[in-house]
Amino acid sequence: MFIEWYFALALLISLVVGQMMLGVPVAIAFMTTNLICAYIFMGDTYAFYQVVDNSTSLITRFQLAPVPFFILMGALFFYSGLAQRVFTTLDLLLGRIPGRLCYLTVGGGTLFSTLTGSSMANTAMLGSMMVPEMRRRGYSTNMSLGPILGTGGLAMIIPPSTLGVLLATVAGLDVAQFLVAGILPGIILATFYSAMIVFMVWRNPDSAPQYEVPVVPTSEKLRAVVVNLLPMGFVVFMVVGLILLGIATPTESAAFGVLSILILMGAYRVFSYQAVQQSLLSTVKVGGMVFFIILNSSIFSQLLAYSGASSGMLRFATSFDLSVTMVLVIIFFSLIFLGMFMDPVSMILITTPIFFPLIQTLGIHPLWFGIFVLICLEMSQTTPPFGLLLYVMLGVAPKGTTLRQVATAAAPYLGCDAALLVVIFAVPALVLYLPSLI
Amino acid sequence: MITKLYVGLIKALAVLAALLLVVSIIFVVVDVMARAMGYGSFRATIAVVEYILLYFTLFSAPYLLHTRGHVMVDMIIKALPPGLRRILEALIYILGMVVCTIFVVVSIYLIRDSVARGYFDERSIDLPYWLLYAAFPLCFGLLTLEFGRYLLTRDSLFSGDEKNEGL
Repeated sequence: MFIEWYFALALLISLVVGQMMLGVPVAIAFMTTNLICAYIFMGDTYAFYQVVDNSTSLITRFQLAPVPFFILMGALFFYSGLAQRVFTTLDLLLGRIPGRLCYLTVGGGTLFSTLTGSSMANTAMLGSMMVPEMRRRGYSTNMSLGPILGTGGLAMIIPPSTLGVLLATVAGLDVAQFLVAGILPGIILATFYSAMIVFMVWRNPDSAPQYEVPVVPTSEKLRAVVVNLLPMGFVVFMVVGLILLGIATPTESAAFGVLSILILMGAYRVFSYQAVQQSLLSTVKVGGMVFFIILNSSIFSQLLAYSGASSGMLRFATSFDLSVTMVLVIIFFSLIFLGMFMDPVSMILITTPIFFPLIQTLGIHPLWFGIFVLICLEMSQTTPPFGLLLYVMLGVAPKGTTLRQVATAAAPYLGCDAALLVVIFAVPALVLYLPSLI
Repeated sequence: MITKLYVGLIKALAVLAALLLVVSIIFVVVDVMARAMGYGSFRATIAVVEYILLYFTLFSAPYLLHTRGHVMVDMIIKALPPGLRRILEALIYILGMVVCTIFVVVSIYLIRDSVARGYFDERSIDLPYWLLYAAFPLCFGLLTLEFGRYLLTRDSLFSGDEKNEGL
């Protein structure tokens, strides 16, 4: 049946988004949309055959394997207590500086991001560890919740990023290059967060009161670094180093990441059956949830192409002769809007087949655009009413904390994210230099 | 007794999904080590890992539905008056049952056809095509039953707390 591209596009998007809004599980929303639209476009029940037959095409890609591996690696890192060990060492190193717990959050969060790939796990971990301590030390709500929300999201950008692997696979990018592309923007963002804390403490010193910290001899600090921090470099090397050196594929380095965490657990004598069991359960929950959506959405992009919606949209968007900047601004606001009620995995699966062909016709480098999308996704997860990270924070914040308070605390750090977008737009090499070395 | 067996099956599949993941990691690590030691790569590794990703997904899906682990936007449904909410929930469960049943039926056809025609899935090693869909009837069948359970009992898919796990 011939259907105008705009009708096909509207039908596909409104069906899937409409069902999601009504509470239909995301994977089921994709399944229903695919079955209905395939039947309408093909005009035959043979369409059902096509939908089921093609559902395995995306999920059975070797490039996607780092997603569960990275989730397991992060879970082992948290459940084994290694994360706590890293954190305690950083705490020891910081000494007596204004806003020290905020810097501890940014430092710890950035380090966690190099060892885990999940923003939600990072935010939950930092939140549950830092918020009670910050409250006890008299930190204001803004100073306690804000840095955690900002830093928690860093895991989306700094490798190993599970969302990064997913985005690269769906968009057909080189996963290794894409993971490496996030390193410099991630470091810059962590620096921006620190600068924001300096500024906020300077403007309002009472929001992060200073407190006495026991003096620790330098020799003890050095010992803690050698014993607790340097070995973590081993894991980072196994994951990021092997990719950067071009020795291993992301799947291989992710598998070695899991192995190296297990080795460290053995070396620190924190290996326990319970930690492994909890980590595997967490991986089944998170990985299974994400992959089931991927399984049922892979034909969605094929339907966008088959119905002419992708090409029609492309013709329409390019007919306005909009500048690159304007297109990026429109994409930015679309992603922030979608993030208000949608999870990042669904956003990637719905928008990638539409946005990536568009930006390629405009001459934008897909790796650069991928990082742009990841930053937008991070921001969208921190915007009300449905920003997932806001709710994770609300879950671990003290009773009585409102969504409004959490969102207000996150605002300055969203400003940092926006500043990073401007910086990478002005200097694309910050994203593209490291991948060019592989 | 039947309930116990049913829940046991769902949990056993989730355990199998976890074990498969461990197997895939072992496969990749051994493959890289063999390559580094000059023995070359195993051709099967890529295909095995790819199939494990599929089976990991299918085996964990019923457990996730049973434990309310799938991603849902519950903002609107939780704000509805109880009567309306129950109707919308029932419609969602029926929708889930219908689409999962379609997947069960079509996958059985796919398995039957690929066995009859002797199709192969060409990857790093050739595998029988039906292997791609072998777990579909079980997975989507259990999902249909799970949606049915939510429909017919007082249990609700939307009664869980906010989740702290995700990407």
